[in-house]
Amino acid sequence: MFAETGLTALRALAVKLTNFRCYPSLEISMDSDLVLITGHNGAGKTSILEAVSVISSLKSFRGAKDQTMVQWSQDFYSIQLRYRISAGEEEVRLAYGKNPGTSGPMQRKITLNREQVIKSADLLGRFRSVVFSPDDISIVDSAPGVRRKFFDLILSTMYPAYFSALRHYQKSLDMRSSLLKSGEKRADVFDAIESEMAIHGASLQAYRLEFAKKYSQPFGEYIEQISGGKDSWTLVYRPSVEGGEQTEIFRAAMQSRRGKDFVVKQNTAGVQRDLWKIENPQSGQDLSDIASQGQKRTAALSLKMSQYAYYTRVTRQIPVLLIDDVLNELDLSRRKQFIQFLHKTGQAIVTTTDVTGMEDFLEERAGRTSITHYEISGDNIPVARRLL
Amino acid sequence: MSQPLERATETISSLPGIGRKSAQRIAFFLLKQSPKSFGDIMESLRTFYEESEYCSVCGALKAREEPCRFCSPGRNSTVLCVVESPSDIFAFEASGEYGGLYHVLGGVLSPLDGVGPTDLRLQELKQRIDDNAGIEEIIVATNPSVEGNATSHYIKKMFDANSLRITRIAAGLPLGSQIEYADQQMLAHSLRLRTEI
Ligand SMILES: [Zn+2]
Repeated sequence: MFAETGLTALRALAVKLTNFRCYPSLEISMDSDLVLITGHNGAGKTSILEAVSVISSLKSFRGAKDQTMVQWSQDFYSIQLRYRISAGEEEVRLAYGKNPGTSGPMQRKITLNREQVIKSADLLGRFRSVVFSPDDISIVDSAPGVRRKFFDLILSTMYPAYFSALRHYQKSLDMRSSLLKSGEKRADVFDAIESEMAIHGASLQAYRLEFAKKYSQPFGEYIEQISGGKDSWTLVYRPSVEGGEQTEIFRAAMQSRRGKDFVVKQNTAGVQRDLWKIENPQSGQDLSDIASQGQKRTAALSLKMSQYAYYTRVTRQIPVLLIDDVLNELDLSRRKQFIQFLHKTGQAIVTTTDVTGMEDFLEERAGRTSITHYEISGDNIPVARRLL
Repeated sequence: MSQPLERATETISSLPGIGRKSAQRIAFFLLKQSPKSFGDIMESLRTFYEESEYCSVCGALKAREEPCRFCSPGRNSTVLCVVESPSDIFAFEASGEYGGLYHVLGGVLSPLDGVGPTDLRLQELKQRIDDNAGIEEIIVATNPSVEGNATSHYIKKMFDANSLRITRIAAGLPLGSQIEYADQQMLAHSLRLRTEI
């Protein structure tokens, strides 16, 4: 199935939810190449994808807080996901909340294979998935912070050192910002804090530079492919501190900014201000300024397809795709291209209002892939009925 | 809950690292003791409180009437290890790897908590180095946290003009870990593998 050899594919086998969103309890098996989840709008399809993705990133792709995902009037939620990796099967259980009837704080607890309690940082990177959602358009079409967050999450799940550098950079940044706010101007204190900032900042910048090279290539190619050769955009990384991947340059930049930062009482340079731009390669104009809605959609799709390509290339393992109602958003030609892409990937879990209009997709997959199909229905408490 | 129990629980839970549940357990434990053994516990705490003090030179804990054993002539006085708190000294002593002098800072730089250089025993450190030409190396053994690292940068800069070797324990200690709880072997290892800063 895969052109490249030496790759293994990750596969979700079953998910079990307790008190998660609208589900008091739900258990569905997923051991197929294609898992279709259908149901009317608001039936609770997306919540299933959301739960699976929380295992990948510890966060809701809908931006929901943990508390919001706990079913109304309940004390906790839990997500149990069983999946197959090259080494065998694993099962992760992530619970958030407190024991019923107690008044303790809401906490997250992650258990691996039913016995070993692991830290959040050790869950990242175990079960890799890529989410495709209609909201993806906001990643290409919003303020720079949204893209920074998006790439930070990918890098954090890929490199534990990046994750810890990010945390420590943030801490040292907060220290500098609290100095600026307090009006403290002692050079010796700034020297000390900036030296620490520079170590982590330079490391983050070095990771981002390397990442940008690997990510922008598939991004450009997918744009071409999805648009049928009509669009052309490049992903460009613009660090706030030029050359700041070198600790000494980063540190010197912080130092030379002090005068300005004393006046505005905030940090005006550093990796928290780095830009990920999507530009027209000829004019350098920003996508969000000049692109049509359809072009933005193409870019959003390509950004996620590149995430898939990047994961596959770096980890040698094919991630699971979680596709939330995206197909119906696309016009015919883009849709055809996207379906082409899906045929070459690993497991895909797809939600859609109904299969009508998906015949093209199913037809091409039929015979070559195994399909599981659940329909979600019910008025208050959704029920999953297996059709295939 | 009875009022004396309430009060005892509250007092005990004001101690570091003890929640209300443990505090209550400790209160009940104390109640179970014979008057004699309860008296012994109380007496030992009182003696500790009354007879302990911090060394005015290095900041280590010492008995009030005795000289500081970490400042005694028997120690290697060419090297000085800078730590955050007096309890860190016991961790280094237990590692068996170190026989030099100590200097307790009493914290680390932390602008978020309003802790600046003047809140730490840095001036005393400077004075000690100026007064003791025999000290050749300072080992900065603050915790490997952002604050601990920033403090090590500060100390490095402080002695830029001096011809001192300034090293930092690093290898083996993961960023964010606590020296006080560090495994003895790991601490010994990180002392041996200290690096210049
Ligand atoms: Zn002493």
